Amino acid sequence: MKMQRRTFVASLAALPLAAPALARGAGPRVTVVGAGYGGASFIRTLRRLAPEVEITVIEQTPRFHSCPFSNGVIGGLWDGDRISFEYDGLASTGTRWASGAAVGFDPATREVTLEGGEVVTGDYVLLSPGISLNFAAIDGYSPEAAEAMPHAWQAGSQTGLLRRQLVEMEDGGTVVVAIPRPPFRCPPGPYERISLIAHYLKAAKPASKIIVLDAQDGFSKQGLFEECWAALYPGLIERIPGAESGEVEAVDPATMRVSTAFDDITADVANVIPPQRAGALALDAGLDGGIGWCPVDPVSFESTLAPGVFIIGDAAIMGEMPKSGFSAAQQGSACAAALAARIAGDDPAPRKLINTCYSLAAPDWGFSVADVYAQTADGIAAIRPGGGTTPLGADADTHAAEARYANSWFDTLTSQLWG
Amino acid sequence: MFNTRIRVPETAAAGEAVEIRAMIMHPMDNGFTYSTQGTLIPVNIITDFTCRYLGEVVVQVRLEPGISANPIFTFSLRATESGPVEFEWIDQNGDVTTASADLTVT
Amino acid sequence: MSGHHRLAIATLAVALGPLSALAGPGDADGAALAVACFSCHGPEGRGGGEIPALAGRDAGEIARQLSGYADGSIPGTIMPRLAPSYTGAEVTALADWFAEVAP
Repeated sequence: MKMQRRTFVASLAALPLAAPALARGAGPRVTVVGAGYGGASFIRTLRRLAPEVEITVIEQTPRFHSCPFSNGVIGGLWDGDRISFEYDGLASTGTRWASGAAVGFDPATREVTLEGGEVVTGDYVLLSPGISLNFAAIDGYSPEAAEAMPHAWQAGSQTGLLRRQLVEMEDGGTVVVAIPRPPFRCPPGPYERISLIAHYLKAAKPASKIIVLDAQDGFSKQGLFEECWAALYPGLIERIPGAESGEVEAVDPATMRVSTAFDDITADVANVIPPQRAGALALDAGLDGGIGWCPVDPVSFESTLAPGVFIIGDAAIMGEMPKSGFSAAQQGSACAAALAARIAGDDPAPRKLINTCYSLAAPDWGFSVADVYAQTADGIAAIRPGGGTTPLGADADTHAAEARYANSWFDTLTSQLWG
Repeated sequence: MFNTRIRVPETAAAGEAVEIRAMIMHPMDNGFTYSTQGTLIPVNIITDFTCRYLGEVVVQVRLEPGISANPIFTFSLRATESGPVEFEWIDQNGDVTTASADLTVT
Repeated sequence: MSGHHRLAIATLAVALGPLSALAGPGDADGAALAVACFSCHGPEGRGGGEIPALAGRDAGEIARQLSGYADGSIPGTIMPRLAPSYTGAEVTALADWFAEVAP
């Protein structure tokens, strides 16, 4: 019923909007690079608030693969179809869909060059390019090495590869998960992954173990994860924190060796998550100012280095807001509202933004961090008191409810963005 | 006492050179950094590291400010006979941290 | 660009009194606040699986529930952590906005 209504609304919207989109010069031209959580949310909201705007979308992947809920694929809770979405629904909202990946961006002219040589120009540009992986930070690691030692930190074929390796591993094997220094996409994500791999191994390969080589000392929702690990996966997970030399410095895909300054561990499956920076397009254009992540105005998300260029999601410095799909979608809506105000000649109004990051430590064991953030001229800050994580020692009903809410959240948001 | 990690092979052939690793979890504050409150963090370092094999000193190091936090020493040791490999760290206040492992020579 | 334009609007706003479309600091803009809720509560608050719909519910009921989460008198999972971050005026604006949406 709900799907039908949405499909109907979408096709209705496509009819009147298709005409002005074809007539060039009808409204300001906005180029959107990246149709993930941030970009898709921006497109949907801008369409609603400023229907006269011409939107051109540049997206390098043929289908969207969601990082949220990809750990469920790796742990075998559901298959890859659940995190894979067509862009058709989004494309049919009266947007022009450029073909091919963006390979260059000139912040001064706001021209985006596509791999086929086409140049897309716009009055405003929204960059939601996500992350790039800094392979060079780990000796011996590379995109080729990631075919043997997957990072699976950009969902898609890497997600399936890591899942297959776990399925093919013999019982009694050693799974190494390497976690980089922050900041990285999805702070609790590596620990959710460890939990769901443990869930799979406990049932299917109980003699196996997970060794976590962690550049961090403490981590997101640490108490909640460790509470669950002690209850459900005792003895299965061994973690070496940063202070005990947990940071991975080198890998050798030929021998499957993962090395820190202190340890050399031979893995049967090695999930090596490298350090991260803003998406390559933003980095190459210098929009990170040399610091790896892009500074933006906290209310409009306009780059502080390039007027008319807006940057949202994982690539941007968003104050206290974490790098999450939930946050990116909120920033996409707020950025679209700010741009619509700009086009109308108004100043953008600061908003309250929400982030709720669910983690599943088992199919029916969920918990979360939930905060409301205020946009101010000084930055984006969590509002206190209020906010925070699921309390420690919560009962099974609470964890089960949070797991159900996590599933609902994922299905609800993804159907709004790509449905 | 600070936490330490040491890596000594359980066994080695007589005459074999084995790799030894020893690490101590210590901030090694160099006296030039400030706390988040803006106060200077005073010098606080490990000053001496010693490794003994069969009771004899085989490695001795004097540490200065500027050595990184959680320092690790990696070195080769020629195995001659079975016995203890002992490690000792001394901080600037004279407090001693020790660790040891037995090496069996076959 | 729009210095004069903004000044003109500000003057207009003073002359006409509060207008929701020109909500300034201190006013609560229900529509802008509500967008943040859609990720879980569905488009326009029409519901999302296990997470209840807000659209078309009685404004007083929504406001009482939000206030109850905020003061701890109503238990819950996520909402007791989110609700305290909204002012009374914001709670009222949110409740009024969702109440007006056709379910």
